[in-house]
Amino acid sequence: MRSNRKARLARQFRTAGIALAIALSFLVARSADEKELTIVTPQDHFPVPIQQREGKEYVDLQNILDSMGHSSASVEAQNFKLHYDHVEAHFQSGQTEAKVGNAAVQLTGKFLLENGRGWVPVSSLVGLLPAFIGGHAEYHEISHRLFLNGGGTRFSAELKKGPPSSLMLSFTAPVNPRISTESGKLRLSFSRDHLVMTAQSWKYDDPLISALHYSEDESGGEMVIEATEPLLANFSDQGKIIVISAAPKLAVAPPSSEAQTSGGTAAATNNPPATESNANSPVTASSGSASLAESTGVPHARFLIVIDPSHGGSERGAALSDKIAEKDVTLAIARRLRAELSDRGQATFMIRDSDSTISLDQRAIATNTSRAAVYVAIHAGTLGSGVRVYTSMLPETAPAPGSFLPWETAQSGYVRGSRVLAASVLDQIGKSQAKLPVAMMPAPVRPLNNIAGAAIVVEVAPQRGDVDSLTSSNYQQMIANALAAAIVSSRATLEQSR
Amino acid sequence: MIPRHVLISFALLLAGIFVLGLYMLSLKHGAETATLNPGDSVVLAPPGSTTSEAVTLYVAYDDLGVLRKRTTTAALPGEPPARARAILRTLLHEYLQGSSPHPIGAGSDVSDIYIVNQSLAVIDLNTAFADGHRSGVWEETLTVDSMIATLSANMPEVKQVKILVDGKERETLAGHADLITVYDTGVVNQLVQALQ
Repeated sequence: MRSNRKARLARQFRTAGIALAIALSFLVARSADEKELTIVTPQDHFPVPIQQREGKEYVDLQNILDSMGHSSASVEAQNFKLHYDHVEAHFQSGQTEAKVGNAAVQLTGKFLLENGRGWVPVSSLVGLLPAFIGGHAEYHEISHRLFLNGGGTRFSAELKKGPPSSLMLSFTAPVNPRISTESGKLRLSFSRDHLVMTAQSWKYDDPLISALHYSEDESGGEMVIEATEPLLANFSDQGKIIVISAAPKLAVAPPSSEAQTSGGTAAATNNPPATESNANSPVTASSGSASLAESTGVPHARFLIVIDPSHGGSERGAALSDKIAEKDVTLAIARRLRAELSDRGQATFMIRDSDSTISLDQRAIATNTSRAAVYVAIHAGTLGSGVRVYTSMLPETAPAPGSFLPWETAQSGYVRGSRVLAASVLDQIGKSQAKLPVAMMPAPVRPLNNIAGAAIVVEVAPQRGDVDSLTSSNYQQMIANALAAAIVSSRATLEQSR
Repeated sequence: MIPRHVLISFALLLAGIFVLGLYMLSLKHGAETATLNPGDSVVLAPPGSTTSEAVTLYVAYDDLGVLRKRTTTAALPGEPPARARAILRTLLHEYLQGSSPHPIGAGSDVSDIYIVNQSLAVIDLNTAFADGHRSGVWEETLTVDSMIATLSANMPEVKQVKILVDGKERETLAGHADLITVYDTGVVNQLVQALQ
């Protein structure tokens, strides 16, 4: 009797265990297979779970309508009646035709009724949803996205032939793509945005940018731009415009002092000398320019100075007054500095020469890609007066030529050179007639730590507490003169340390 | 025909539910009485032991461009994260005054502080702190240095500091000061010595 009871208990436990295991495996399998349909409207986007039924992808129709408004449903035997915003729809379980309002809508699979909910094939939504809400729908099966009534972001591409050529991508809404580069390609992944375009390709008859391909995969849209040189993406208009252009090129120093020591690099690159027509291009060189690839292996043959006018575009920087934004003052001083350096025969590159938004990482990437010898970031502030020069707070380490540098501490090996440069700026500003207050100190300013070269941040404060002096051409010119003189006077020391 | 033992079990379960229901009602009544009777309320001490202690602050002075060492007293909890937060809030209190030598945005606060491995302090600032902060290299540098130096002076075991805003990493405080980096308190303290 007792042994019978024990056996019965054991059987019950075993059965319960098996049931539990089946339930768990079912749950795990379900979670692994879970897919979502993203519905994109002009105002919003929301996900809806997809279920596999009869070899097709199905969605709960009422779930979608409830996300956009209010619906109600009633079930009678095999009939499913759905109300949404004065529209009444009739479905019948197992049938492939439905009536929505007065219109008959053909489904791409059977209508399924489960637990009082109506399930329809995903591909049927293109016909069904417009019958409920009006307008039109567009379904992108690869990325599982359904665009309603013009929802989603569109773009157009326009190649502006150079030199230098650039590709302008204009979007109907701000975008935030992930950017990656590989040999001859710049890749923009729009997994966080909802681009509504279908796969397309554009071919260009241009020496720099040869093609633009747009395609979709499960994660969203992706653009690949093919080019003959490394490219750089600049954002403007709050992320609605992306301008793709060549990454900064190397420039070779003047022949009088350097062509001999460089082993004729300028001639070896076979590039034309700088002319009046390209004097305003981002890279200015006195004797000629060379591409990044062409100049590698000649480490002491160039001395490129990168000038970074901080902020720009949607990033205004400090509000120096009601009317004066930091981004405008920094650009004005940077332009003067470029002119002063060019007059002294120095090769320069401006990170921006217009009101464009460039991220801090992109500024550092552009500087490092160009193998700049000097990086000068211009800032402006209202506190105090005179000029403050900042260097990185990283501890000084020995330079590691030829090795990879950690991004966050790339500056470590160049701290000594940066301090030499900062001290030279102090010295030159001290010599100026205005006798400006000047200070030098380490500070945590982005992107100093990421620059592989002598790098300083110059913060220009008002001349004598008068904020308007920041826009004075005399004051700006005096600062630019002192900075240019400082860079030129420290060049020999910096070249020795490279 | 329902077996007898099933009926007994069912009756016992019902009785149990009834008794537990009565017990819950009595608990609810007791809690309501305690809350509603003001005569019974007492002042409770904050969780953990809190004592008033001397706190060293490094206060930024914008007009002079310096960080001045100042000592004040504040009630500091014993738990390191709560202690660190109380120390920084004492500093921020100075900056939020009308006559502050280094004003910061209204509503600025330290949401939380996490101490990792006893030596890394992760400071989580609220959004109002970063969004309301004045933009400028000097203004932002003084704020960051002042906070790190103050924390380090009162909790020397903290060797590194990381700053978050609203629980997330942010590139800069207000366009200039680096919030990506993990700060070494030794390096900051050296700088602060030079700024006194």
